[in-house]
Amino acid sequence: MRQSSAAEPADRASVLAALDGTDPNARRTAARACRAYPDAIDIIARRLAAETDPRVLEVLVLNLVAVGGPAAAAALAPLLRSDDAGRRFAAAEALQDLGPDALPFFDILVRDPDPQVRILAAEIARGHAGGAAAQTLEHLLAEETEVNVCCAFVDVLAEIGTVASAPALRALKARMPDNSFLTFSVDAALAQLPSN
Amino acid sequence: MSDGNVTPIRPAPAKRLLVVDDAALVRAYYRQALEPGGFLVDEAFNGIEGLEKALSGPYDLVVVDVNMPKMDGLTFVHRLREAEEIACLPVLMTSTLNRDRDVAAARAAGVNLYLVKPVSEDDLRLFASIMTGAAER
Amino acid sequence: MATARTTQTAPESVTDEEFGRFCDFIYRRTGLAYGQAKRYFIDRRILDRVEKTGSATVQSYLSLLRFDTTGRELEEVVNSLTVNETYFWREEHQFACLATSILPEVVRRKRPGQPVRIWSLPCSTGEEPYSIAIWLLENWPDVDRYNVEIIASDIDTKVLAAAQNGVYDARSVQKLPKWVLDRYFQRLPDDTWRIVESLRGSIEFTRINASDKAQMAAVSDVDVIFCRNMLIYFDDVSRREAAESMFECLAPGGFVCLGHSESMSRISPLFDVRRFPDAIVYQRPPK
Repeated sequence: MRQSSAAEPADRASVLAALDGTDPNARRTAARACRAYPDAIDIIARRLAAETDPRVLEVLVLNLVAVGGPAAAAALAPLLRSDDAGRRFAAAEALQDLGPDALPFFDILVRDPDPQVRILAAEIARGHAGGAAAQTLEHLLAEETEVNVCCAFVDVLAEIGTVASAPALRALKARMPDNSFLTFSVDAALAQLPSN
Repeated sequence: MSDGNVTPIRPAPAKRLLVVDDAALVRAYYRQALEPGGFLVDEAFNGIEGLEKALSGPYDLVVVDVNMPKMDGLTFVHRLREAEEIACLPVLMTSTLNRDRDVAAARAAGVNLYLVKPVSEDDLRLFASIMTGAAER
Repeated sequence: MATARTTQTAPESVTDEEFGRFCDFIYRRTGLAYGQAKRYFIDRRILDRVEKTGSATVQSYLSLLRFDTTGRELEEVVNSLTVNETYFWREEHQFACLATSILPEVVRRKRPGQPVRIWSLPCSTGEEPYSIAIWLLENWPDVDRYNVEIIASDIDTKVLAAAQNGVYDARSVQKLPKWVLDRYFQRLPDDTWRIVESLRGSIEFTRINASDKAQMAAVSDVDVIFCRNMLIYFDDVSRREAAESMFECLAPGGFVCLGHSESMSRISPLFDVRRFPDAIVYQRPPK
C-alpha cells in the first residue's frame, strides 16, 4: 500500500502561518492539521471568522463538529451573522450536526433581533424531530412579524413537527391571510404532519 | 389557409425552468405557479445539484435562492458563468436580503434579475415570461 | 398486485403526495434521489415496509420512518431500495465515461512511467474492480501505454476473500458478452465462473474502513475513485468525513464516481461537478 506522500507533521508555527496565508490549498491542509491541537476550537473559530473559500470552510467546520461539545457550538453561533452566505450556512449546518449541544444556542439565535439570523437559526432545528425545538418554533410563530421568518419556521416544522404543531400553523395562516406563499406553505406543512 | 409561401405557425416549444432552492415548500410553490402557464419545471436542492442539472439541460431560465447548504446561490452563479456550455443562462435570483450590497454582489456575479422574497406568483410568472421570451398566458 | 390478507385491510396504493414526501425524506437523509421513473418499484417497497412494520396506513408508516431515532427502519428501507445486487458491468455508462472522458484527461497530467491508479471502494465481492479491469482492457485504446493499478477495498473481510477468490454465478456475469467470459473467466463444473489467475493477481485487495481517517490517509495519489452505493448508508457527518478523506486520497485533478442515484450535493462541497457525455462525476481541482 502506497505510503502517504506527506512529510513529517509540520510544526505548529508553520501550520498556523499557513492557516492565514493567501493559498487556499495550503489553508485547507493547515486546517486539517489543527484538528488534534488542544486549542483547536479557538484556532478554528478565529480562522472561520475570516474564511470564505468553501473548501477550507468545510474542513474547518468538520473539525469543529469532530471536536464537538458546547464550546464548538459557541464558536459557531456568532457566524450566523456573517456577510458571507457560504460561511453562515456552513455554520448553521454544523450546528445542526452538533445535536443537543447546539440547542441552547438555537433557543437564543431563533429570538435574535436580526430576521436573517432567525431564519438561519431555524435550520438548526432540523433533525430534532418532535421535541423542544419544534415547540419553540410553534410558540414563536404566534409573535413573529417577519413573513420570511414565518415561512422558514413553517418549512422546518413541516419536517420536524408533530400533530401538536397544527394549531400554531393554523393560527399563523389566520393572522397573515393575504400572503399566498405563506398560505400555501402552511397548508403543505399541515398535510405533512403525522396524523397521530 | 396557407398559400405555400407562408411558414405554418407551430406552437413554440415549452420553456424549461430550473428552480434551485433548499426549501421544498418554495420549490413546490413555484412549480404550482409556473406549470399552468406551460413552463416545464425541474428542481434542485442547492447550488451543487443546480450545476448538475444546469449542465444536463438545456434550460431557458434558472431561478435560484441565495441561502442554501453546501453551495450558496452566489457561488452557483459564479460557477455557472465560468462554465462554457451554460455561461449565458438567464438567472433570476431570489433572496430574503434586500440591502444594496446584496444586490450589488448578485449583479457582479452575473445575476440578471434580483427579487426579494417572498416572491408572488404573479411576479414569478411575469418575470419568467419576460426572461424566457414566452408570451404570458 | 397481491396483498397479504390480514384482519384489517392493508393499504394497497401510495398517493402522489405520499410518494413525494417519501422521496424527499429519503433524499434528505441518504442523498438517494428517486422520482416518477421508479414509481412502481418504490411504491412496492413502501407497501412492503408498511406491511412489515404493521403500520395501518402509508401515512402512519411515514411518521414511523421520520420519528425512528434508531435509524433501523431507514436502514431497512434503504436496503430494500438499493437491492444489494452487484453484477459485472453494472452501470456501465460510468465505465464508458472512465475510458472515453476521465482517463484521457488523467493521462495528460502524467509523466512517463507514472502509474494510473484506480480505487474501487467498497469493492464488495469484487465485481466492480474486475469490471473496471476488463472494461479498460477491452475499451481503452491506451491501456497498454500506461501502468494501471487497481486497488479494491472493503471493510468486510469475508467479501474481500470472496473477491480475491474471484468465483461468480451466472446471474452475476449475465451482462457480459460471451467472448468476454471466454477471455477472462474459466468455467467451473458447477456452472460458476472464475476470473483468470493473471487478472485476479493484478488487483490489490485491502481491508479499509472508509470512516477511519488514519486508514484512508495511507492511500494517496489516486486518479479515480469508484465509490458507489456506500455513502448512502452513512449518517450526515460520516458521509462528509469520508468525502473529505477521499478528497485527500486523490491526486490533484483526480475524480470520484458515485452511484447512479447519488450526488455530492447532499454530501460535500469539496468537489467540482464535471459533466461528461456518459456521466456526471466529481473532481478534485487540479492544482
